[in-house]
Amino acid sequence: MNFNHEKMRKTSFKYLPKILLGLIPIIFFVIFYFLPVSAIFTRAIELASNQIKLDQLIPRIWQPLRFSVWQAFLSTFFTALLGIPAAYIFARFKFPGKSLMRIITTIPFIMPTVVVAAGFNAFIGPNGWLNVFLMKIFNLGDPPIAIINTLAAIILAHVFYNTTVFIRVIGGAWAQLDRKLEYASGSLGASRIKTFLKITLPLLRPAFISAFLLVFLFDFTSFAVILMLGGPGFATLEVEIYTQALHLLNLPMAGLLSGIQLIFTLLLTSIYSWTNHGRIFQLTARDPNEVEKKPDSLIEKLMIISIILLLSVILILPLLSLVIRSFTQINSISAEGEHLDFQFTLQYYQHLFVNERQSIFYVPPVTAIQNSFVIGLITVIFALLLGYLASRTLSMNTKFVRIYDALLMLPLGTSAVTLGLGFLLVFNKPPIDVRSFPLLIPIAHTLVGLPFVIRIIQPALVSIPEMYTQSAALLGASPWKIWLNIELPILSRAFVSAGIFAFTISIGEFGATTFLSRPDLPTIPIAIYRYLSQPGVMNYGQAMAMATILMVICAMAIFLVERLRLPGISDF
Amino acid sequence: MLSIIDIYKTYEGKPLLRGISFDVHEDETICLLGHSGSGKSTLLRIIAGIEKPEGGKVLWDGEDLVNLAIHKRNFGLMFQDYALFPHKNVFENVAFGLRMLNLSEATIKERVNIELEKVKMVNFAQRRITDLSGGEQQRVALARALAPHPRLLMLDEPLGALDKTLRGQLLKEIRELLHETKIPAIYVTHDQEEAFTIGDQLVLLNEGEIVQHGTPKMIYQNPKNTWVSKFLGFNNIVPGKVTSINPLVVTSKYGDFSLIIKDNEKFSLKQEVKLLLRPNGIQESSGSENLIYGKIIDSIYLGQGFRIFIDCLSTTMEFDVKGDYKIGDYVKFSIDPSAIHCFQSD
Amino acid sequence: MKNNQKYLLIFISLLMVLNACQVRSTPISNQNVMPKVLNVMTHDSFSVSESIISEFEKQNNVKVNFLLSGDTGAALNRAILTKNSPQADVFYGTDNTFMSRALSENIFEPYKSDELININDDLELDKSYRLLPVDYGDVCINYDKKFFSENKLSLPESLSDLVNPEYKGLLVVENPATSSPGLSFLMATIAEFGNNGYLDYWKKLKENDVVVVNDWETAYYTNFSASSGKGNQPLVVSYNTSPAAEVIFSDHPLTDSPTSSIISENSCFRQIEFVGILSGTHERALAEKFVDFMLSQTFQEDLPLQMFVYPANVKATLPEEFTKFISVPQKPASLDPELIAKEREVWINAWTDEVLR
Repeated sequence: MNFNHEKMRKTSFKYLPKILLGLIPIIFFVIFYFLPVSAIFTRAIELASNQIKLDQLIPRIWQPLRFSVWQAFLSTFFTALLGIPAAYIFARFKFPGKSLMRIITTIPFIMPTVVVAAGFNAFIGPNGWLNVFLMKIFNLGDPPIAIINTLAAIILAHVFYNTTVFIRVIGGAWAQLDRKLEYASGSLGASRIKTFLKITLPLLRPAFISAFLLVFLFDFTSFAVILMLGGPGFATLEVEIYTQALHLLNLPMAGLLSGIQLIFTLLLTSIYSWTNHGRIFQLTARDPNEVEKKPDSLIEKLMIISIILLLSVILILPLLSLVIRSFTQINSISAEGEHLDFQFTLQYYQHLFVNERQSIFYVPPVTAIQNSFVIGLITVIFALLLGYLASRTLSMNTKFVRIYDALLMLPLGTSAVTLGLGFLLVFNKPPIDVRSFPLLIPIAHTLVGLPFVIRIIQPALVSIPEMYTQSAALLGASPWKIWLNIELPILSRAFVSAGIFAFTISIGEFGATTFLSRPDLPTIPIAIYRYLSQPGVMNYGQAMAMATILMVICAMAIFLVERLRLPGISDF
Repeated sequence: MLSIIDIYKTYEGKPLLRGISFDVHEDETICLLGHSGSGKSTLLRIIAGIEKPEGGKVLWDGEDLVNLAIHKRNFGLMFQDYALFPHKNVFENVAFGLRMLNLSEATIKERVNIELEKVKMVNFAQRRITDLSGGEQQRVALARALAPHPRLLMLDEPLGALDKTLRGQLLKEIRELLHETKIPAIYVTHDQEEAFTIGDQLVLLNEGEIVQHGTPKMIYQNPKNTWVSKFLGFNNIVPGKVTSINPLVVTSKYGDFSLIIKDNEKFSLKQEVKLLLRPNGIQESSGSENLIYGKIIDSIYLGQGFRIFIDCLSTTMEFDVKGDYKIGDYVKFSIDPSAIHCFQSD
Repeated sequence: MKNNQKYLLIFISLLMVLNACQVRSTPISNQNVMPKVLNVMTHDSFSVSESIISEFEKQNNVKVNFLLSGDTGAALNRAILTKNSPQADVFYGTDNTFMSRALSENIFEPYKSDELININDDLELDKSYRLLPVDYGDVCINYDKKFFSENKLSLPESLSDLVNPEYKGLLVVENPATSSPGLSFLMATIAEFGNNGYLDYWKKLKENDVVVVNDWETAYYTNFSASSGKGNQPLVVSYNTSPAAEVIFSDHPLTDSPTSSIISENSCFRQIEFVGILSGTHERALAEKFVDFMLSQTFQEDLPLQMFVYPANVKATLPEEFTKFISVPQKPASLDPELIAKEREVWINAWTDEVLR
């Protein structure tokens, strides 16, 4: 009896720091998410009395909601169609150019939609080079690919952006799945498809559900892609919120739509955490040499080649079109009909470094890159720290944890306009003032990145056999030493992957940033928008050049991080 | 039944298997024996259909299997860590292969029960895999592999993860099961004790090549070279030169050794050879033939007797003796000519 | 590891090369007394020469802090949302479409600047002096000169002409729900055809295959045939100053602009931008000085090439590019700001139902 009592006291004492640490993400969340969002809702309700007319309301809500769900469903489906096979080949095979390919697939995340739209137009637009090429070859009068401003363009852009989520989230888990399970299944007479359905899929269920949910939410709240590539025929809830809030100054309507979007998101994340709460089969970190092999049959080779080809067409060619455009000067030659002359040029790059108009807001590219990087790095630190602490809490399987899990996903389904305006409403006096508190931008980015980070770190954390930490404790290692020598090396792979996600989200995020940005801290997307907001060939060329620099620098940074793994885990 | 013909495979430019050929006959268990890295597991994967050889053939009754997918081969497979499906219980693990045959639910139930009976796991049918001990998992893995009645069973270090006592017990059971089911089997291991217990034929692999192939008895009696001898645990190797053919006499730095063997003719005079002095068959002697002398440096009690270690001209030799010796004593033994084996220098 | 170091080295040297290319800007203040801070909230398109701001700062011992807050709507939203604890002293960028709404929110204090004597009276829409006009620009249809000369097509002379079959599929406009020039163009059609007629006109435009996109960037850079995108429409809704920008921001020297605008009566909509002092400012005196400064000749002459708009100050001399390449409509369309505030949502919704659904 006495002994038990003693033990209990010891146990609760032992968990105290754990619980305190677990509170940090909650406090962060309450201050930087619930406070601004509820403030904006309160304000919307205060103003609601006179501005909302009920009879017109239902169609104004129903149409964008229906379209948001429908396009998100289609986009997620097609992203999965490319993303799952891609995740499979990245997890299971060795092939030349793999690490480069893996980096390239993360680049779309950092690209502002305005340049991506330009890239798609340069590639498959009515006068994009693919259409020009096809028209020349087949002697066609009209461009054969006419998908700009259609649902197809929206889906294509979403596939472009989100394939990397499948590759990282599912591929990451898949690489931890013991290949021998698949071999055993095969030797028992199960074909590849049956093995996938009966063995792989059930075991990777959490990763699959996570990836689908993340991508669905991203597509569901899509804004710029719908606006710029879908055209005016399409409006998601997010587009409507933007229009209502910023063009009609109808805050109550925006608040209502935002609330509906949020309720829908909450519904989805609740279903998610409910379906995902069952037994999770722990996957342990594995040596890539054990799980990755060279393709040896013709089918495998063909499969890899075709997936790489598809990835290249959808992910790389639009980006490449941008790069090429940034080096090309197009001159119209005055002759009969349309005749264009293409010329190599470096002038868009040269002019980036000159403040031609002597404007006080001129953004030197290096400053923009530095700002973007610093904000990105702070986001990485915040997101990894909070994501790690939240993941620890989430590893305990209690009812509270399930609610917590669902809530942490909410920022993904929250309109950037709502969050941005909420920040302005709440953080306008010291100590946290939008005008002077420089951490608000990385904090906003952290909110968006956190769901991704948690989805990656949590499974890795669960996969650490308790045996390891226990045996280390038996050998007299302090908790800190255990963490440093056992947990960190095992988690480092997940940390790298999650950190890259947080970084790319931060670099590319534009929605909430526009509300919080400060002219003294311009980021790359903001610089790009400044160029594109005025007419003139030079502005356009400079925007493309800036985007190219962004792409190259980020690719190099990711490449370095992926290479400079922490010592001692180079084999993993 | 199964013929492996001239299998060739490289890994990152280095040869992993260099022309491996052997046959597996009906009711026969073949043991692939070798150190880790010898290529034995790769060979097993090639036979299973997990990997493809770069050269050579895998034939089943004359039919080339190289392009036949793993799930169409009907070869049972068992891994060192069992690879049981963690999301299925014991029953469903064993039933998995049967479900792939589209059998009726009743038949599946019946056959799963039979298989679980064989491995004495009937009472565990509804248990979770994660709740089983290592030995129990091993039995389930065996039942699962046997359930669809494979035409060949392959076991990759099936006992590697178990402790010694359990290993002995399970080894016996596997041996009985293999004899009972009459399924030809390929058993991969690095443990010669296991191999000698279970294998009808042994295939010794080293650096991607078959070093020796034969029955356990044959290999034990005629290890082909130093490597095989050492692998079998024979450490007393003495280099020497043939000085007489009939009777065969080999001169070494320890003196002359005369041997009693059948095929004296394969040796020629002045040929460099190596002698294997088996640890048994020595006696203390004052004679002048087949002598070994030196200082006792260690003695280990083994139950029936002792194993003593003698420093003979700076080489440590091991012998089994009945009585105990004091460390530091100088001794002189004569070796029974039938306990000496001679092979060409390699 | 060696390899990694090599990559790191390349990476760092690349950053250094980029850094070397950077033009260093001179530090702004070198005063002895700690300068006061004046916060100016405005939209992202705001721009001004560094030199004249530092001059203003030096003269008044002040540090001007600009809060760029998204597009016009977003910036105004920010000002309205934070009106109880104002984040800035001066707000610049309210236009005539948002004017009445901004005034009804009571976020500005009246200030009758002395500089108003030089300001074009027609632009002074707010008689309460809370919003003072700074600049104006006309949203007009721009055309690709080469297209029309090569195809020997005559230019449309009025909005009505655009429904004629020869212009089928040649015009790209922006969605008024998401784009400010798009809204201005819609208002031009409302001014021209009236509340009862504009939807009929749009119906005909739609039948004549008008192309609608969501934002100015897409319309101009992707669809417009005279811009970088080399698109398919030689007619685009843009600003009357765009032709000058095409010359200034060309990648090779030009003697004439490749584009021009159609400026016939009621075919353009005039956007006027205002500045106002935000209610509750603690720096009223400095705010007044800044408003004076924005209306002064110095700032007004800097405006055109920074923001591509016309100065409201009649004394300001225009840059050569403006007089040479830009045509200014004599009779632009206009609507009563109060009417705009009242009907804006109704118009946009009706337009959406007519044109997009």
